[in-house]
Amino acid sequence: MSFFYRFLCGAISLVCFCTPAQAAPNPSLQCAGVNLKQAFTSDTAWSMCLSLDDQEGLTVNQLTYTTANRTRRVLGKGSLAQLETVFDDNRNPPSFATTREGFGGNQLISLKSKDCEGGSLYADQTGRKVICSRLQTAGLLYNYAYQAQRQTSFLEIFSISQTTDFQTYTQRWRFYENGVIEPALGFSGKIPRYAPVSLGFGRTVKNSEQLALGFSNYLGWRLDFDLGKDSDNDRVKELTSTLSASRRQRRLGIAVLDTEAARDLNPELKTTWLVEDGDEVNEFGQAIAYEIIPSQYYQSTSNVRGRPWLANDLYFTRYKECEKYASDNNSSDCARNVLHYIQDKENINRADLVVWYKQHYHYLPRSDDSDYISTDWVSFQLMPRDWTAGNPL
Amino acid sequence: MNSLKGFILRIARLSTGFIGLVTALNAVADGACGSAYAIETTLPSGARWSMCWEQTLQNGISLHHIAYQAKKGPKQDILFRAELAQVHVPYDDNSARYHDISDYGFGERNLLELNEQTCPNGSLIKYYGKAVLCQQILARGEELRSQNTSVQGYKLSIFSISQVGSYNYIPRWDFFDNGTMEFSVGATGALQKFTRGNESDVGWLIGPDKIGLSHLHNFFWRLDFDLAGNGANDYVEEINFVREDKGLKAKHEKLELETGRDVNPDTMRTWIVADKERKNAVNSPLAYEIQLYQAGQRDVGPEEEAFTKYDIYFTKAKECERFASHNGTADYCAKDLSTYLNGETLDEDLIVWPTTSFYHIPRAEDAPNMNLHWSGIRLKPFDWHNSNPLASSIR
Repeated sequence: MSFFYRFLCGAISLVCFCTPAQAAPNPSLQCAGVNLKQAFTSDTAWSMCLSLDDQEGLTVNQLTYTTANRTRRVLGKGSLAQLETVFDDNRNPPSFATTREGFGGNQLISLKSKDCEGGSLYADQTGRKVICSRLQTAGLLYNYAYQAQRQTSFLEIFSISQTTDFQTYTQRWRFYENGVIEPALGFSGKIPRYAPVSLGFGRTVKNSEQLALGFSNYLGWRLDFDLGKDSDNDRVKELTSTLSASRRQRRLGIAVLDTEAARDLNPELKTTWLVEDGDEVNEFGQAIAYEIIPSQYYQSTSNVRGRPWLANDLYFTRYKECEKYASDNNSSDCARNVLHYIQDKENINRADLVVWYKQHYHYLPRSDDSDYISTDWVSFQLMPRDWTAGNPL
Repeated sequence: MNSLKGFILRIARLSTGFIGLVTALNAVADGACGSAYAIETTLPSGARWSMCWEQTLQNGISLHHIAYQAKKGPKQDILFRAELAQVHVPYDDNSARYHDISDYGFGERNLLELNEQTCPNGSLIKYYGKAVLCQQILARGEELRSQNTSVQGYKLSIFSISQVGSYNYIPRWDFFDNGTMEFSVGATGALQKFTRGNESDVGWLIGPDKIGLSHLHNFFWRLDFDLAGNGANDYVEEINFVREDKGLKAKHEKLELETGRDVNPDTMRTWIVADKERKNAVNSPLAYEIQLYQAGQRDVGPEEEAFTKYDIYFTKAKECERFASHNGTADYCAKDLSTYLNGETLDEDLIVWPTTSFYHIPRAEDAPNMNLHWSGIRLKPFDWHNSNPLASSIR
């Protein structure tokens, strides 16, 4: 655990503790990093502990959301737990930005106030300002004719890592006033590799002697859900919607996933997943839950090297301390990647649950990116479902 | 191609002869509308967007003569016209299957009046005294970053709000300073349809003895591309990445005839609209990529809704083919997208119909007021520039 949490010091309104925090299943209230709390005018609030890990970079810990006069934990920890890159020529093995170069330490770029307009910068243990936190307006939350309208905002946290000379990644988390969580990764930098025209890979972007190579970035998000008071009683429900023979009616199907599993997106069935608490309910008696809203379906299954763990979109596992990374997990006595984590089919019905979401982003070079790549974002959302009885805003 | 467009195209063709000299080619966009219907914005980074808008009963707000000018670049036309061309809303219990644009309309009295509260830090644009459009300039974070070098990006954002039944739809048009466009629709207001009970397989409990019915929103846009001011020489290419020689190779295929196509996550299929004549400095055709980044909930409906079959459609431009479905059939026009596809060539002026779907299983949080949900598509410059246009400030 010692390298797992890095210490941050410095700015106003943050608290530093100097003992490493425990992750789930026995979370401590101590924070090794920045203790951040953001209240909104509506009496809703987010609180979290931001830590900087050498490998994962920015991580979000002990995340709670306060709404309707009730504070509940959502995540024990959320992080990007792997970034695997394969270039389109596929002449080299994949690179593992998280587990090899790392997003933390010296890879983190020092931020200036102009990089964080309207926000606050937080320093790492060496005093370098590497985290930006700011409140941003998000336009309308809802509008109903002339009777009801409301503007909203979100808390945005980001850090930027230069993992190689040419590859720059922004880790950005948005926490909306209405409870939505939006993790994102921004891709920028410079076109990292060129290949001779004779190989036939890539595209002309700058001159005709060398072709800029496209590449695949596979993101392995790790979401350690700890809904409510107890981190050991969460479960996953898979929602599907089946069409009748006439294709005019749809029927909702709800199934609890009892054991560790790998699952796929399915547009025909509109498959979606809820993580719900086994005990806590809203005032209507519904289990409080968060829904996983995936994205990036249109590039999701391309897998040029046929890497087994990339064959599925989501993995649901029971928490194990050594299962840290989506792939290239090198700790001894532990399985190597998510596909192996699910092999023993452990019970996940009322358990400490970890959701792994794999996303694929393919970069297609274009002249418009020569010299500097125009930042592309890949994100997804976690959305409250029945967290409150009715819209508290 | 209508006569007005033909006339404008003739002007554009005359002008293209001087294109190397004319950095601000004003002939097409300017004069296409009166100043009350013109939007011209210079973003903080120096890029300029210009366009005209109009209001109609069914489409609500349509944009036309959309042109972009990179800082230090020439003004280039991109879209002759862009509009939302259907919002199709089938309910899971088949109690309703709405066609909101064609049958109810986003315009006239369904277009809500906006004010400073709905449009903070923006400017309101009026239609006969009623503020119907909100125009804002928004920061959009870092455009580029490498080591300690970075440039912030901005966008022009334009939206209107239309009330149809209990729903409030917010068509939004975002124009980035790097040339990217994002067209989206926000759905808010209140749930439209309910049933009683405490459990249901056609909806979700949203209150005691109250079930909100699940439904789909199928959004269709109609985009009339006229890259570099001439629609007659645009063409569509489909790009698929296939495994070859151990790696991934991009296979480009020109789509010759009207067709409907789907995303394919195995081959990362994507489409570009390119100009036959205009090339950038490395001889690549000027093009825009169409990204269906929210694909994944497409709903192929019953036989009589064959227009739901594909993620994107490419058709030959026809003035009477206005809506994705429930199109008026006067003047022998076809009734929906499925019948617009009748084997015609795409070699003349072409229309792109991108779609995206949102499957809405209500939540307890959806009442009384339903928070906005955004659905959108993206148009991204593809060899439109010689290099990143916003990097000029750091070179």
